[in-house]
Parts: sequence; structure tokens; C-alpha cells
Amino acid sequence: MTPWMKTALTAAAGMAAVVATTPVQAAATDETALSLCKVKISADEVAKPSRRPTTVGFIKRVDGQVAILRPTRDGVDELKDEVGMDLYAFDAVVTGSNGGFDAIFTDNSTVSGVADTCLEISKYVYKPAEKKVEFRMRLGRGVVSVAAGSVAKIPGDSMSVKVRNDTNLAVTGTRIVIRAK
Amino acid sequence: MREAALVDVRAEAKAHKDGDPLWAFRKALICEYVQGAKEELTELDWNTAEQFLEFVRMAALNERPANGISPLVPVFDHLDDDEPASLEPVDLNNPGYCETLSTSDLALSQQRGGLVEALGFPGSLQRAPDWYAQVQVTYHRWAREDLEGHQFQEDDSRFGGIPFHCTRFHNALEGSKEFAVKDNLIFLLPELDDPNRAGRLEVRDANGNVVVLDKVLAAAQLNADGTEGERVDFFAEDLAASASLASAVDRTNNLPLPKVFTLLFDYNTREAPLEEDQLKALRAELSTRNPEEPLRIAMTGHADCVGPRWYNTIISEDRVKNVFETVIKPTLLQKGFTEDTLSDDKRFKLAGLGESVPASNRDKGQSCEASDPDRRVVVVVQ
Repeated sequence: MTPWMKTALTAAAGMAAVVATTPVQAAATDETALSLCKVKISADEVAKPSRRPTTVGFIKRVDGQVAILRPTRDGVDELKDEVGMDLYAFDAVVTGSNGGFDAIFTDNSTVSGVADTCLEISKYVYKPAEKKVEFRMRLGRGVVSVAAGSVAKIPGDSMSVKVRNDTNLAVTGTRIVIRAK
Repeated sequence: MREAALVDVRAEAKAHKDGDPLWAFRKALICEYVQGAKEELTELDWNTAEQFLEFVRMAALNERPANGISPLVPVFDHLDDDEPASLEPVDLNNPGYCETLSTSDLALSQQRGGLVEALGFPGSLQRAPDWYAQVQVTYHRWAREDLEGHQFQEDDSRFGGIPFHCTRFHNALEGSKEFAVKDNLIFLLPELDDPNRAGRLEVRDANGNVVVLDKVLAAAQLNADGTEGERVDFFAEDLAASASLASAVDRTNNLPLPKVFTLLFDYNTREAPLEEDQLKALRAELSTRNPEEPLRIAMTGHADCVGPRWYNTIISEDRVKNVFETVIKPTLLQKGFTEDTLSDDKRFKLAGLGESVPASNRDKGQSCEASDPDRRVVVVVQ
């Protein structure tokens, strides 16, 4: 049995095509679950569908095979990634062996991913007027380069990338490259 | 005559061997491929045996495939025209992916990045030549079985089908990790405006230890359990030798970076921003953009706190509209953007925020005064 159901949906104008839907999966144990990139994390950190999806950034460039995994009430949609597409909090961007993407976020942070990469947006809040800013990512595998935007310039631990459940990279106004498996 | 020929062969082998830091890896590769060819022969798979013997020859003579991805790593022909339709990730830490055809197929594609990275990294093949030869050849054999696609039935298990080779690969890859530059590697790039300056990164490991990186190419490694790995000196040569790391740097260096412009306004005016330099810079930036890129512009208009709030909201909206209509729109139309594109409010966002977000640091309760930096339009070009 295949682990996901293929659904042949035709994209309406301006809409992204859903190429596959993965049904909701049970948590691995009581304490842990698998994230969209299949990294083991605590169950309460698992990606949840947004009630009111808010755009947190968009795809600036795409090369080769790239998809966005988006949690929905019924499971996870796999969307064919296209230039200009919106990104929502809790999305994951995944690339194939010839894939690559560049994304720009609302706070002007940029994230570029290369082939065989899976990156999740765990949390994104950007309300500078209310001094509420937070950008958390989780790198499941592959390589990304991150150029921190306004989020990282607010004092405090506001921007981080997790490469393992217990490892945080606190980014402050800098450009970095991260590789993870 | 035979002896004379052997002398030539030995001389050639010695010439290839001497001074080749990868000789130990090549030797291990020869052993692994010979073993593979022998096993394929017992399965009467002549074609695969012949292919493996060809790689034995290439390893012996130090030939590199024209489109190979690292020294002596063959082309993985099974994926040339047949990428899996889905990019759904597989849990690569759990060898359970070897047990079904669909997950094996996905894992075969997704393990390739890590494999290429491991084999391509300077030093890996010298640190553990036997492990990496095993990793390469088991992957190759798994890929061949996948290409042939007919050895998943239980009654074919005597031939060593996909689960068998997939599990061997998984074990070899896990074993090699002890000798690899860690999978979890982080390093700093220079700032765009100064190649000798980097930002600052705090890496907090699973034990709560903090490693501070604050120099160009300063790097940290993390073990699989999240603890800090051995300290590593990371060099530009390492970066150049790793395709995926170099590719990530190229991507970020070539990305048109978002830019922010702040146009100041005279007291109680809606027109003609005061700051000519910023206006020129904005026009110059827009003239570098082209209609094919998914350009997005977010504009916010602001007012100072003098006057009623409702009036300040209106004037801030007027300032935004004014900058859009008289500066941004004409410049982009000239560049070939269409009216339709420019009226897409998802890509071109205009908002008047009145006096609600002052640029000046006025204390709460402080009396309101006309303030230059508050009267502005902020344009973010992405």
C-alpha cells in the first residue's frame, strides 16, 4: 500500500496544484512525533494547519523539482512549487535531487535551499510595531543558506534554526550556511 | 611476453598508485565491485556483472566518469529519467524504508544527497576508505535492483533483492558516519558589503553548551544526538569541494536582496518626498528589476502626531498612493511591467498607518511635536 494517496486535481487559475495528499499520521509515541521533514520532535511541536493562513513569505526562485508540504485538516498536501507562490507558517519546502529554491520572508530574511533539502517553517510571527517577532525553522536534511532580516535584529532570541530536536542556532544579523541530515 | 605485459601493467598501476591519496579508497572499491560482480554472476545477471567489472577497471586505472559526481563515483543511471513523482520525505534514520518498494524508491532518491556529500567531502575517503567504498557500492547495487525492479518478491530473496541491498547500504552509511565530517555543520559567510566581516552565531547544543561563531567561515559541528562535535577548521577549499555547500553560497550570493527605502515628507504635505537621494536610489533599484521575476513591494505611509488621528491616517494613505503613482508605477511600466500586474494587491501592498508607528522614540505621555522622521513612506522592495 502506498503511504500517500495520489489525487489528480487540476489547479484553478492562480492556485497551486495539489499533487499528493498524505493522510494524518499517528504520533510516533506519546512524547514524540514525526515532523513534515520526518524529524523526530516533541508531539506538541508538530505542524498544525493554520486556521487563517497568513502569508509569511514567498518563493522568489525555483529550479528543478521542488514541492511545498502544507498541513491541512485532512493531512498534508504536497503542492508543486512555483515562482511567486506564497509561503505560510508551518509549510515545509522540499527539493529533489536537481532542485533548489530561494524564499523571501516578510521581514526580509532570505533562505536558499539546494538539492535534497527539507526545511520546515516551525513558527513565524512578524509584528514589529507590537515588538512580537519570532522566526523558527527546522532543517530536516540538506543545506540551506540563511541571510537574517529584521527579525534577527530585534534584541533577544527571536530567530533560530533547529537542526536536531535539541540544537538551536540563534541567528543575529548574519549570513550562514547550515547542513543537516 | 606475458611477463613483459605484466611489467607494463604493474608499472601503470604503480604510477596511478603513487602520490594518489585516494589509492586506499580505490583499492577498497575494487574489492567491493569484484565481490558484487561475483554475486551477480551467481544470479546469472551478466549485464550487471559486466558493469561492475567495468568499474573495477576504472578504479584500477583511476578513470573518472565524465559526469561522475566525485572521484570514481559512477553515474546513478536509475534516476536519470525516473525521479519519484512525489517528494514526500522518508524517515532516513529508520531502515524500515527498505521494506516496501514505494519507500525504498523515495529513500533511494533522498539518500543520494547525503551520499554525494559524504563521498565528495575532502578527507572522508582518506579517513575511512573501506567504509566509503562499501557505501558507494551498496548504494550502486541497491540502485541496480531498483532499476530492474523485479526482485521484491519473497521467493526472490535468495538473489539479494532490494531490501537486502538497501539494508546493507543503510548499515554502511551509518558505520561511515563516525569518520565523516559531521552532517550537522554550520558556518558563517562574509557579509555582502565586506568580505572580511561576518555576523555572529550562537550555537546551543543539547547539553546547553554555547559555541560562538563570529569570523568568516568559522564553523561548528554537531553530533547526531545534538551535542557539540569536534572543533573543525573549515577552509574555502572545503567549501569549493562540496557541491551542495558551494551551491547554497552561490544561491544566496546571486539572490536579488530585499531593499528598504525611507522617503521623508514636509510637514502637512502629500507630494514630493524631501529626500532626493533615497528617491534616486529607489528608482535605480526598480530599474534593475524585470517583469519575469515575482517582484513584491510593500509600502507603508506614516504621519507625525500633530493633528487629529483620522486626518493623519488619511494623509499617510495619500503619501503612499502618491509615491506609488508618481514614482513606482511609471518606473516599472517603463521596465515592461503591465497595469494588471501593478494592480495585484497581493504583490503590491499599500497601507496608511497614520501616526500609529512613529520612527522617533517618543516616550509615552510625552507631548506631541512635529517630527521629521515620522512623516515618511517606507518602501520594501522584495
